[in-house]
Amino acid sequence: MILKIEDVSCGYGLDPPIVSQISMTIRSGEIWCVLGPNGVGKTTLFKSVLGFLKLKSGRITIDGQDIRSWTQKKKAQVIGYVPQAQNNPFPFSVKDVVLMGRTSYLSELGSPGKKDVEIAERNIHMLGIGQLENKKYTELSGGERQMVLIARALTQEPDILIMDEPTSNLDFGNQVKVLKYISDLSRRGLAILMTSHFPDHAFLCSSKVALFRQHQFVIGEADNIVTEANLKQAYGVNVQIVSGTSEQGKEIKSCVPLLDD
Amino acid sequence: MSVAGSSYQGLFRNPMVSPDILGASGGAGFGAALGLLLSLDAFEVQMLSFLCGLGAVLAAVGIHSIIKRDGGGSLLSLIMIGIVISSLAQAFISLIKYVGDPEDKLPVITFWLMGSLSTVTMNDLFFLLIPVIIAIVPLYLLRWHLNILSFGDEEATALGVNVRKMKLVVIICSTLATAVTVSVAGVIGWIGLIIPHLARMLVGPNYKRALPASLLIGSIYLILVDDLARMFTMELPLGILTSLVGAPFFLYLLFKGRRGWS
Repeated sequence: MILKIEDVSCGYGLDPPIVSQISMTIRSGEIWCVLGPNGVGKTTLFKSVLGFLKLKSGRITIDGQDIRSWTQKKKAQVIGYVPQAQNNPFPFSVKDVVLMGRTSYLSELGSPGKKDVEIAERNIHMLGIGQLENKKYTELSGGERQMVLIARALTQEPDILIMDEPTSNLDFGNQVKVLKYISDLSRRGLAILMTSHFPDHAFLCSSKVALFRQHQFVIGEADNIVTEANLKQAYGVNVQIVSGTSEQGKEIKSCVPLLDD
Repeated sequence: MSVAGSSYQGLFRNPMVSPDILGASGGAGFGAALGLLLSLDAFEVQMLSFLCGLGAVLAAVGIHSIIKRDGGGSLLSLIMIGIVISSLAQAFISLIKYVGDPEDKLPVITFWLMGSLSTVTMNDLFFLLIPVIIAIVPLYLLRWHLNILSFGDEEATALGVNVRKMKLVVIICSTLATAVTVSVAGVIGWIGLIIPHLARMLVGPNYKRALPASLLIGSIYLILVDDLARMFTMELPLGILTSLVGAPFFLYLLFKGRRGWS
């Protein structure tokens, strides 16, 4: 599966575009991390790929087909979306929330059947949240909710997972756990497109990076893009990249911000 | 009414929404008051009331779509417009009461607005039957998708739901049910707001069970309250009793802590 974003400009209504002329090619098994300061259009880009916003120019294709002509249902079977965890006014059970991922496979008047329940339960157990299954979604912690939303997106059985800051609102341990799941999922062949506020996450997932720097996205491998100079230009702060070797002999890298000028 | 209320609460993602939120009851009440003032016969009053109910919601949705085209427009603004339309309808109802003959017209209008089943005949039932079936069958069939609407437009879209189409169907069906009910039975408060909660407390928020439960509990509640209304020497208007019985019962449930929302 290849998702191509070709010369895409996007933004809201009649306003000038927020993101202009971005091109990316995302293949099965790749993790793409979109980095950049608040308000540069990371979410806008995602909304455009998901079809919430009309493109101002350019096109988005999956395996060569322009997805503009796809129905919302077909799109939902290929692209799974993990939004930032929000609340719902009604206390749905976790199982029901995950089951909602099956909606795009149902007829408009249909309800999920036995097979759909099986798929939902398989994903709940795969993500290790079986103990939450019968709890109320509204009573979960932020981290638990995030896992439920990932399970729901996986229940769509998509080829691509789009995740809007999957690690926000999570404590340190849960952040690392979610990143580990993301790595596992990419190894199973899913393409993952996510935003993050932490450049370190790009190193951890050894991903490709789109970094918004001075009105333009720069795109490439994490090692080439997440550099001290690029981070300084993008975020306006001094950063030092330190590297070492893990106990298993793997090279590890991290960004350390510096407080002095 | 309870099915319309239940559907609206999911659509507007708000457990405080009742089926008259877009002006259906207000419009239907105005239509009936006008019909009674003009001394129309019973069927004409119903028809006028039904059409005014539909017209009020049409006006609300129409104004909203104009605002939306100009770049604004959210669910909240739709609710605000509905409140404005309802308030206008109330003002016209007051005007009609004011000019109505206090000996003859005023009591009839006032009694009608309080809601009652005392004058309902077999013919009314047939008048009611077709629009109610047209309204409830689609809502019943779409009930799984109502769950997904409560997560908001974007998530519902990402899950593969055609949100625009869904909203349109839900608003049309709920309006139809509300307007026709009010045109036959008058303004019977509470049922559209409280019964969906009761249903959720009993069977959970999943519309697969909550919508049929709302339908059954709403019907049973109305019949029980109507029986109660007829036990007094002079039959009491239903609207008074649904509130008198419903409100304390709802408070009791709240105190028991079995809430139907987060």
